[in-house]
Amino acid sequence: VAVSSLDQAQKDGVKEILHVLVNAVSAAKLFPSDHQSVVNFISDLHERLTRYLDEYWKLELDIEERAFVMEGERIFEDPHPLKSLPFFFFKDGMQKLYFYKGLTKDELKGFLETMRAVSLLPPEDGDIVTALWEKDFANIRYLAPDDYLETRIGVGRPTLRAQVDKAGLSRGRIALAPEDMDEMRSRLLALSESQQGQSGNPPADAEPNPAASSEDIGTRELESLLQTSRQLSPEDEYLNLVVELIYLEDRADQFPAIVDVLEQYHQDIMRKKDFSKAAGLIRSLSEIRERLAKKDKLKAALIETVISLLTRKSVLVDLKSSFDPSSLNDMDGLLSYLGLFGPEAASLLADVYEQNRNPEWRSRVLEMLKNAGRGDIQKLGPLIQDARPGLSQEIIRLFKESQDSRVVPHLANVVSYRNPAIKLAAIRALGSITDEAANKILLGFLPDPSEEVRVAALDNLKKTEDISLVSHICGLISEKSFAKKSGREKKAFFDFLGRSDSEEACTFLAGILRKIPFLPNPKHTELCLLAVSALAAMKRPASLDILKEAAKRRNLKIRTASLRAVRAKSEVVISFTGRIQQ
Amino acid sequence: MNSPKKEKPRPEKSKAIHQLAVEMIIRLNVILKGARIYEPNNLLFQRQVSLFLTLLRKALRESGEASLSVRGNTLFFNNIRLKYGFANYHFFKFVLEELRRKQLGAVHFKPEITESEVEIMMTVWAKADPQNIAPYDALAAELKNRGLDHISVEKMIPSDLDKSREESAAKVFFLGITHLEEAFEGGFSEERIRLGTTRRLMQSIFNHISDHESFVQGLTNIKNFHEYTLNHSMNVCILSVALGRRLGLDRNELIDLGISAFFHDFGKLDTPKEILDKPGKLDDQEREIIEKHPYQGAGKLVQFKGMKSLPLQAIQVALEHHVKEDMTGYPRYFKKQSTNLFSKIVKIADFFDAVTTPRVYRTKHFTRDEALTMMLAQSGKEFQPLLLREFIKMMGVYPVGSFVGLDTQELAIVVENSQETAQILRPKVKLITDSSGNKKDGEIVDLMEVDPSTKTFKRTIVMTLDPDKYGIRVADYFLARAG
Repeated sequence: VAVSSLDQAQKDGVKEILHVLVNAVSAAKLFPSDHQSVVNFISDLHERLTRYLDEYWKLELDIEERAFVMEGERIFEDPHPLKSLPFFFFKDGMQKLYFYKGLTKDELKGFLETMRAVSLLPPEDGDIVTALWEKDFANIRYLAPDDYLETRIGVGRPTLRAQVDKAGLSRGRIALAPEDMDEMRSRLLALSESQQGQSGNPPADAEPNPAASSEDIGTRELESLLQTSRQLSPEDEYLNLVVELIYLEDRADQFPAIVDVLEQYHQDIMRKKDFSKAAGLIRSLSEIRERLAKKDKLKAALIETVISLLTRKSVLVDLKSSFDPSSLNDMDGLLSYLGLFGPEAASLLADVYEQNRNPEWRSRVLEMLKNAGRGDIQKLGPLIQDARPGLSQEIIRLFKESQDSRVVPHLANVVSYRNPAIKLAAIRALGSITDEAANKILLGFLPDPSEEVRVAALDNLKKTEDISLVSHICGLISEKSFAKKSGREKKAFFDFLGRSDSEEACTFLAGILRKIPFLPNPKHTELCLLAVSALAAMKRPASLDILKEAAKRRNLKIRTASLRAVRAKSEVVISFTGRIQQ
Repeated sequence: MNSPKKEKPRPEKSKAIHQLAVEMIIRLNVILKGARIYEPNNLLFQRQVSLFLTLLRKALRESGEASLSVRGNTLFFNNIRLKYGFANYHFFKFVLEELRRKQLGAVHFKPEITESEVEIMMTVWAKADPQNIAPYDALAAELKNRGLDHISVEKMIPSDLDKSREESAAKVFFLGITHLEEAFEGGFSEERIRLGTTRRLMQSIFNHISDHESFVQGLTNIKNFHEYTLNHSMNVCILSVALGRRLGLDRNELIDLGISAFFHDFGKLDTPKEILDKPGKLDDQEREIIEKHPYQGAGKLVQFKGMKSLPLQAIQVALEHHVKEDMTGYPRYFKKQSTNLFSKIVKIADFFDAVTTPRVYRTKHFTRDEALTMMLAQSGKEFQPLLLREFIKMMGVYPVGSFVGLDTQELAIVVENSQETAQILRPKVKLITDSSGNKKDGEIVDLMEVDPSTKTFKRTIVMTLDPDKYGIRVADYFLARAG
């Protein structure tokens, strides 16, 4: 079966195979394994090798530094040692390479991929022999004697070797100690007795029972043990390990080294966006710190330093700059992680909220923001942005609920926003907060292009002692452009004056009613009716007097409205007085 | 050789052939053993041959050829790699060893093969002189003489036929110690140690274990050579890889396990030598220092995690090899509830090697079988029970290196044991004295050997003895075989 002598045809066949092999290796080093040229080379090589192996069963190549040798004959030579294929094998101590009949295309592909992988490694790390050994291709074998290790280990130092006195092994005599001799005798006796029975005799039937063995429960349990071990996540294992090391390390001088490792690990997991692990790490460190807080204050402080390092602001800044929600597949992990930063993470949480449509996650983010705002609600202020309509409205809602006047300045910016929904939310919040500044901000909405916003702002203006604010409104009403406003908006202006119940407003409204146009003027009539309505809402006595005066006007509409207002006011007064009297 | 192009085997067909081949290996195992005990006309032997032939003919019908061959440490049938599991491991091992001993690279059977040819082949194979220095040539010549037309044999290729494998194994053993010494001296700096070389070393260790496990196990009887920790680490590495192999770990895992075991005591680099070698009991402070070595080692190794070839388990093993199965021991963990599989394996090997090694601080060290008995008592508490059970099975009732007294009054060293239940008490031993106690360079005998006249075993172990008590350096008997 073995190759006995090399005929020309065989030699030519091998030369062709090696030629294609060299080209295939070159292609495999340049291109991925599914590249067409690599695929073609593999097919060609496989075809040639199969043809050869079908005929000769195996292809055995001796490896020299610059050549492949077959039966003592150099069959392939490459003068460039460092780049040559023979040298690639030679440098790692391979002496022979065998291809066997039965070689599959997949094996060949794997062989080339292995060579490619090794060639990409630095020379000191790449070892084709170890790589092939790990792959264990059934039909590709090699010879690489252990002698090679001597070129890598113990170079320049004396060789270790235990000296054995071989002759001494067969010199002298061993006399058993009396106690062993006694033991030996008694066991011999027992053995001889038992041999009367069966145990000393050879078994009658040596036939094995593989079926019984294969059902061994222990075997299954062992396999399950291995399986469980194989399923462990190396990342989780590493995390647990690092945490335990931190816990155990009690040498302050070793801490920086461990911290470096930890930081490196943290960077790695952050690069992989594995926030669950990052959160797990920080949480575990916090637990260690808690546990050591009393018994080892120094170490607790060191761990605190580590935690601070891992949760420093720049970590969030970096994360924010590279944040890409589309590549995120562990929302739970991210939220757990950000939760560890408290209010500092608010900005990132805002991004998460805005870019995620899942109501469940959104509500969790909001809850986190609420918690973040519990310490200092103002931290949420910068999150209100025109570009984040959903979140901004939610934050404004939180502001409204808080009734904290410190949030008012954060709503001032909303005036310049484009999104009317945010503006309306801000207006409602401002309207609910008892603060002079809120009214001033609401005034800022009055030039808004949206009537709805303007009307809402007016509706939310609160009664104020600030005369300038009332004057400002009066001034706006006095402007020519006021006439162009809708009835709804005009009404909102006058409603505020009525709500203000101020002397200033009262005087201003009286002025409107006292002004009598030369010719009938419907616009003036409209203003007067609005003024009547505003005065009707006032409580100050002067308003009644003005209305009584207006009730004498010739203009039927004004007169009627004023009379109705006077009557209503009087009834209120009478009724009020009556109740008091009772 | 010209052969007609054959149809490419379909996967289901290959599976059927594989199943057939596994059955043939089991049958071959029985035949070869039977052929040593029985004459060719024995009915039991003939029945086994007949069963084997039925399987063989079926294979020949199915695929037109029937060839059993060896490549590396693997058996092939018709170019299909034969895989073994826990249950049939020892059948494969036996057949592989038998092929190796006779330097048989391949045996080819032709369709016209007869029962008588199989009987002759098996008898010649089984009864060939074990001491022959050219076993293949002798066997091939004998088969030729017997005129077997339908069986041909082929010699092993040089890679599988390493004449000086014991010598090579011993060389690898000492290179391992040197390599570790270099790593320790360099404090594991990248300049001093190349893990690529460590991986290559592990590969060699694995190959030697696969080739001749008993001999390599025998080398672990070398104790306190050069420096305790280095020698011990090498022993632990060998025992761990051997156990890992039994468990069915794949090659990558075995390399990682080997590296992990190899560096498990790396933390001792920081432990003062006076404490490590202190005769007598350690005081509390010294014990505290000793107990720091696991996390000191892990702390060092973790800083080299960037080295691509350093497996994570190496750090875990360095940290956990003194943590018991019930999570007592040291160090005491903050949170972790269990140890890594490799840590559990290395713990067993570490403990076994440690307690069987004479140390200045230990009043008594244990013989190998005593150590196993003691470990068994700690199963579940100190050791993972399933792994310990496999370890004990691997080591055998009489572990390799055990010093035993035979019923012939001869004294011997166990050099190879079997996994088969029938042979568990009957390992192969090297006779080191005659029946009067005179030392001799005796032969290796198989305690399964039967005296044809009495039909009883020629020799039986009566008791184990403490080699140190008699100044026997067990390791020397293995090293002597390594040239």
